[in-house]
Amino acid sequence: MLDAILKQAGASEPGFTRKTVKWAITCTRDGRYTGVVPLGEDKGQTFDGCPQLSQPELVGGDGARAHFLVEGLPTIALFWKEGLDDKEQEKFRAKHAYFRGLLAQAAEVAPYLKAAAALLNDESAMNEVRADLSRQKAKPTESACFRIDGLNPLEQTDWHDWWRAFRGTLKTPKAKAAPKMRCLLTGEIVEPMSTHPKIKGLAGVGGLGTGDVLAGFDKQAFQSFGLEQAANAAMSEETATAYAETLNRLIAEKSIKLGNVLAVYWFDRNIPLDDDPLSWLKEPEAQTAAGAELKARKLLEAIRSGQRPDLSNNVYYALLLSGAAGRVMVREVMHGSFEALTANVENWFRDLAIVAHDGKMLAPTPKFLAVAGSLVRDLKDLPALMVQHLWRAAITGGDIPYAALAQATLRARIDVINDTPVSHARMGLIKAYHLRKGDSYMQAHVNPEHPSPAYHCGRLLAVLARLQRAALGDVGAGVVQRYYTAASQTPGLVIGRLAANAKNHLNKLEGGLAYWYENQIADVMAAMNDIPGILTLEQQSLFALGYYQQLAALNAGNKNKPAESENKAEPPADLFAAHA
Amino acid sequence: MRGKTHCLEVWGDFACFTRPEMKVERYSYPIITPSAARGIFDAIYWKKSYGFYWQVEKVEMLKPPRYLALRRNEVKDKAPGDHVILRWKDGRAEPEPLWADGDREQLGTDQKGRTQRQTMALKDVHYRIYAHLRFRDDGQDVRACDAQFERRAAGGQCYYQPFFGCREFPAFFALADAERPGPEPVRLDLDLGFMLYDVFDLSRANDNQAPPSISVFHAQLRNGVMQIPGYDVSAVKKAVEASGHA
Repeated sequence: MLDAILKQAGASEPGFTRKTVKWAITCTRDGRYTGVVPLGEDKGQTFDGCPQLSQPELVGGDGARAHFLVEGLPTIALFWKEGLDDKEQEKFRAKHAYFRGLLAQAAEVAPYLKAAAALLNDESAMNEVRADLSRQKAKPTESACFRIDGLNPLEQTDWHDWWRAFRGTLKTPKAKAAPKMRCLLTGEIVEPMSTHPKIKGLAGVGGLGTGDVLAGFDKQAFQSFGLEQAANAAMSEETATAYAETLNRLIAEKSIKLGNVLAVYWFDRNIPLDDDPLSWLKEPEAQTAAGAELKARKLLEAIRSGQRPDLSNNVYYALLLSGAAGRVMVREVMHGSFEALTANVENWFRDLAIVAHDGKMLAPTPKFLAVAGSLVRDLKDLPALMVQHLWRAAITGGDIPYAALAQATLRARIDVINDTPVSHARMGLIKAYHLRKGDSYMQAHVNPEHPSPAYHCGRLLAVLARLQRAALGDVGAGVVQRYYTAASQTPGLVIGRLAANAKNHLNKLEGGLAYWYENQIADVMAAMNDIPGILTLEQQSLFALGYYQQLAALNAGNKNKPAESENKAEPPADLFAAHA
Repeated sequence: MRGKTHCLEVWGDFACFTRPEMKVERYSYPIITPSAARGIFDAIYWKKSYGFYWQVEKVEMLKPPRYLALRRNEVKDKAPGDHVILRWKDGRAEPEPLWADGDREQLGTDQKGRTQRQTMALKDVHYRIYAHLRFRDDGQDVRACDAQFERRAAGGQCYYQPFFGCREFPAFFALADAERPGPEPVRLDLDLGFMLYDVFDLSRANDNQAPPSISVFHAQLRNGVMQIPGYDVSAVKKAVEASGHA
């Protein structure tokens, strides 16, 4: 996995990293303070090649240490919330002094930094900085850099050599040279790095704000064969920096948050966003009902007909990550051909396609998170394992997990009984489950030819519910509220009673409408060769789907259906005599 | 000096051939590593005094890799070595328990107690492994050793239960029957990058105190078959560039 990440690595070097900076403290070349300005939008501006000390470098030595050029507001400007305890204040003052010292040393090779150092030494100017930050509602957790007469030191390279040399002085000479080992990623003989750089961006999925380590072996049980710390997965500092920097960039640029899991993906060769099938899973085309599916199909045709040779040999990689007590947890690694991915995404949308509740057209293509989220009451309740299995099903074309079907069936039942709007994504997922299990009769619209009696039991309940409404109007707790649960689990015990009630409802209707409902019921009953006693979970889901699709068909209207006010005299025949 | 090539068919419900870089939140390679395959042969037949090691030649993957997520509570520290346990036994030191629970406040450190860890294991694995005996010195009766292995493997004998990467995932085995070929390898091509070859220097006789000597090789699966170079060839990148051996 890490070797695939390394293939995406750009220029990276130990001691340098990409950072996002929120504020710039501006001054003139002679150190006169001119104001504080926010950088970029929202979170700030991102700079490549910012100086960075590793954790061991930062905590090593006798006193407090700080990063160079970019630091948090408490360190750079002594800006913190009121009430910070004295010990913490002292710590930040020490870091501030170290930061000033770094600026003064670096000013020998980059003279413009003298202005920044002078500004930090000017107590009245620093009071103004803090006042400005406070006025602009800056938070102590945000970071800042300097802009000196319009020049941002982070965009300069004249201090780089000084910084490399300075980092070298921080390393304490070891009493005994570390044994050289084979790098697991490059195969070279290297001196293994003892602590790997942290992976940032997993704070929303169980990780720490300060970052999480992917290859970390601090506990005894994580170490083997007498090897200590990261010697258990030997890598050079350059390689470890490269994989960490690359993964951090991919997380920042190419990740999708799926509940408690972060999906990170990339392609062997970069492709335009418009051709990215995984971005369609996140946010499908909304303008047409089958937008993403159509787009995937067109892209596939272009690949197969040779019109897109740039995509035909491309490869995708996808990771599912989350944080666990400061460690990165890799939940899934997937890779394969771009063509297969596009085909699987097309299949995903095609399998999920389901008639809309009004029955007139297909429901809009659902986002991946809408599909996963339809299984729980609240998105935060979505188990990471469920997301993982669904993501795998979407990308690799595998089966929908049985647990997802169970949850979808349960949630569908709750929605029906509570009379809340049905989730198209959920019903589509139930349909996709059966399609991927080999049910070739499954369609987006109601299918009277489906062989499952459970499916037709659901259809029958939908017709009977509509019949009751036509006969009695709104009755509060109707057939559905009273009998849906029982009918979807033990139809053999319930259908007879419902049939008897239906006879009364038919008697209340007059003329053509009664005949129309009678025909509808007859059609459904004709499709059923049996009324099962007990339904398995899969059959219960078919029941739910039959109920939904039949309701959609009834909502769509039928040209043959007479108006409910039309009167005819003939009473309906005893349709259920044989079944009741 | 080498023996003849033997073929074992091995299968099991679960396996975890842990990637070294992801051994904390464990993630398995998609196929058995040479060292895990060697371990299965060792479990059936190995004698230190005979001065040989099992050289795995190739692995055929008979079922596609399928992953399974397991999450377990595990302890953070390890049982002490033999010398410490001996001191406890002799009454020269007070025995210390291996704490299976408790937090930093109770235990005074976060290096003890339990932690929850994930394992991305493989499920339903099935391989055919080809290997031969490689002797470090001349003068051994190769034919006798080959015959002993065949007799033991055919009879289902082993010194301890072979396992797939972790001892909790037992491996079952049968000597492959040339007259009744088993299933074909799965049609799968994978470039796995550098894979762990072995943790020990196979050119030496290793014991419980042997230092680690980690070697890697570029693993590739072609039509479900992973060819494994001999330990003494340059394709295996060893910890120390050793001169050729037996």
